[in-house]
Amino acid sequence: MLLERIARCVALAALLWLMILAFRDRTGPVHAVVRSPDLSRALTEWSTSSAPVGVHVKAEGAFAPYARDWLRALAGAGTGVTWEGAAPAPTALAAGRVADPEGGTSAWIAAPAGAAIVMEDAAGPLDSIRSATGGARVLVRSSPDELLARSGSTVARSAVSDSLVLGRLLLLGRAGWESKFVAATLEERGWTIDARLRLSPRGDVRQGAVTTLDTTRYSAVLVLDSIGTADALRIAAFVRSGGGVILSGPALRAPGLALLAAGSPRQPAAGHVPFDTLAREPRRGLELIPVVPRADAVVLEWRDNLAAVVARRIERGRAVTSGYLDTWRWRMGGGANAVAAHRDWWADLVAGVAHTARIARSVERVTDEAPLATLITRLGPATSAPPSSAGTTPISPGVLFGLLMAALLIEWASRRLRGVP
Amino acid sequence: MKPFTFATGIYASGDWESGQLVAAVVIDSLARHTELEVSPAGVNVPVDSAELFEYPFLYLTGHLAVRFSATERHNLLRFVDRGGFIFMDDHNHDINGIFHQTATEELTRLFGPLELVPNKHELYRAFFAFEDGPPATNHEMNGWGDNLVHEQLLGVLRGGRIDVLYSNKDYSSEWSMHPESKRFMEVDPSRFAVNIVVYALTR
Repeated sequence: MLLERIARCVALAALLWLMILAFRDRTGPVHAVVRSPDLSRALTEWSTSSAPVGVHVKAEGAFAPYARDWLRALAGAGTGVTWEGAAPAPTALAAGRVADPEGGTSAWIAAPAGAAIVMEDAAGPLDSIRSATGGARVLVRSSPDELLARSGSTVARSAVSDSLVLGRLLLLGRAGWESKFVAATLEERGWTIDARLRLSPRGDVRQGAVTTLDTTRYSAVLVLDSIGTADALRIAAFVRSGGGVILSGPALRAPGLALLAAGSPRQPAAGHVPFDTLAREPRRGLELIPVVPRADAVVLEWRDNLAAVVARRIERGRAVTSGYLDTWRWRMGGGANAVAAHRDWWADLVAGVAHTARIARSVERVTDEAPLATLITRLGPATSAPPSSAGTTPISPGVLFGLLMAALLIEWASRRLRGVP
Repeated sequence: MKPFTFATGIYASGDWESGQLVAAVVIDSLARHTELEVSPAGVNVPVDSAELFEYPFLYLTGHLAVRFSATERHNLLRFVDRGGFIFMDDHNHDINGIFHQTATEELTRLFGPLELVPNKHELYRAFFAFEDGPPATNHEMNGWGDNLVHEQLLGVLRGGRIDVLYSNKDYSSEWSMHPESKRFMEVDPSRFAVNIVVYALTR
């Protein structure tokens, strides 16, 4: 009797289990495994005709952003999602407009050292570069809405969806070759310059209407020599409110500007006279006041072990301190591309500090600035084992069916042996 | 920072050295009237050397025919293209003399035809005001007295800015004196030199 009851219980349990499995079979597979080329079709299926308890993707290349987000949505809806295979190369891209009248877009790329990176826009490849230890920076002279950094099969893409409004530059200092050539080179670049240059007791040389120093009119101030305390205080307020300042050459030694400087001056290091036309590093030909950086400053340029250009942030604004003296000598005496190189260098310094107003454009772009980081954020790290979800069964339906039949057979045999129908 | 240095160009032909007192007079005037940092002495710089590019203000003068060498031409062209300023003065006082003919021919060959500098140009207001354009020299007015007045200066202008200023008013004679001599004069005769230098340094 006991045996018959046990056999009946087992048979009922097996039957119930099989019914549950049958019900589940009608709504979809318990667990789905798919290769990434079939992922697009599978995603549609999983979201419409079946609802797997878990899915596992065997990646054979980088995930498309939509597929990655779709999988994340499935996971959010309760489906267990895992993946394995070749992860995207750890590549990230950030891009932004350059504060330069010539326009341009600056792209910062993080990638493994030595990785070959191809920069592209919608029209095709723009440039290629090999990543250094700290990544790479590419300056694109055009202003595309979207930039791509391709490293192997991994594509990082960034959208640049705003335009910059540039103000004027204010040049302060003493009349001389440096002020003349710095103004000339930046005007050639497209900047509008207001200037007030000390010339004589009769008065200063003025260019433009030097008015109130604020960020609605000026993007940055360039100080090339010592100035009065009142001017220094006005510049400090301007920088704190978001403006930029460049202190160059003798301005480093001006006591009134010490609060703005990114470092303190040391003894000058000599340059070459006459200028070495064929120098590979032309700024070595210039006399330099080395800068001892403040604790909160970043060195932008070294000459041997001497800090030559240093930057720091002052509340909402930025300050750059350049120790080079008489940079006009580079323009006058440098090699064939010296005029352009001198102009680019100064424009780069200004772009680094200039305050800009931004106009957002209504350009919607799909971005994928860090494919690997986003993939891991969305789906977790790669794993080779499918997830063990609540819907999986340790016993196959065939075994259950055999168990059911065996239990019924045992009960029937026992009853026949007892002579019970 | 390098102070302003008055550089006299040495060229192979002619007598480049004819205005050797000019530098001292101009430096004296700059020191008297401005706060510019100025080298106490001028330099003579070969036009065909790399040293030329250390001095963005170049003074050229002479009495004789001017024929630049290929290297001198190349350097002068590059000098101006990069922002240097040339002041060339005919040390003769005549009309269509040999220096004037050959110098203007060389400048034209290098930079294109010379233009008349308008007498209202900002050069004449860069420091002192010269309402009637370039100041006349003693040669023009009297002195040795030939009464040949040149109304305007010539120049190579790009976008209104003077890159090369050419004078046949013989300022080189006007400014050839010892600076101490100025104290006997009612008006400093080299005031216009201040305008030229200030213009070159600020425009």
